[in-house]
Amino acid sequence: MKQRSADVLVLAALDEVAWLLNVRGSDVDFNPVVLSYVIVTHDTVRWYVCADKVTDDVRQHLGDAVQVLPYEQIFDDLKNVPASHHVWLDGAKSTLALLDQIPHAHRIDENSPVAIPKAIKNDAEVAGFKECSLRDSVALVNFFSWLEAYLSDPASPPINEVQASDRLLEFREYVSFVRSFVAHAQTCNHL
Amino acid sequence: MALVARRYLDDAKLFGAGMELVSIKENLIDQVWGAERPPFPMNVAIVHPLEVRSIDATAAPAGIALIQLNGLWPSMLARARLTRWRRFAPP
Repeated sequence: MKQRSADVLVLAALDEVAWLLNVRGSDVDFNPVVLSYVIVTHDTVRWYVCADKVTDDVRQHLGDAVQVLPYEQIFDDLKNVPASHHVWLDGAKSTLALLDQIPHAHRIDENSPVAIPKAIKNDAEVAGFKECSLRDSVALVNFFSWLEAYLSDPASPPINEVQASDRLLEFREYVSFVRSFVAHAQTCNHL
Repeated sequence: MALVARRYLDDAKLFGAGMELVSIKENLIDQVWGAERPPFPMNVAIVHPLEVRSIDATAAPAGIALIQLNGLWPSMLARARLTRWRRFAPP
């Protein structure tokens, strides 16, 4: 932040908030994130989140280093940032409502300093990605095998896209701990 | 964005006659959803456990899990399940 002459850093991307604070949630389907914002200054970290979401374990994890504040308060706090301060906010990962709180002349609209470090994965994370791909490949191959056998059987009733997608989900759930996304199945005449 | 919106607005096939493009910066969510707006998610947050397949990532190398998965899991369990899946009959 000092290198970029930024006095205030605003994180609006939920994955960046989760990475910075090392917290996870389930507010968004298939995404382990908490609906919240973070503001970092040179000497404070403020997490804007509904207080009911912050358990004792999370508060203990955050310690005194992070202030927990009401979710909506970020708009007022941004309005009260001294006019001379420069605010770093990645406009591509922010809402217009948040962006509008910051005078254009004092806005640093660039990738946040969280983005690059977050993209660097350690060995355990790389292994996790490989394992996810392996598991999903097993599910897909089994699904394709099942579908081929099903369609080649003249006695099989017709199957539509939703039924095929649901069946693929079952295959995926068998080899995964959590649902990662919903399959979007379609046949060629829908292209 | 306004230019794009204007271009679409001029397309009578999309919007028909009598429509007007207005500039608005207020929160449209409440106006669109009204009372039907879904409640704000209130799921609790958790501290991220540094685990790989439920094993503390700092205590066991992830490679062990990969070897187990690659050698046993797909070939044994998935094949056993496939027999039942082949009998699937969609509703």
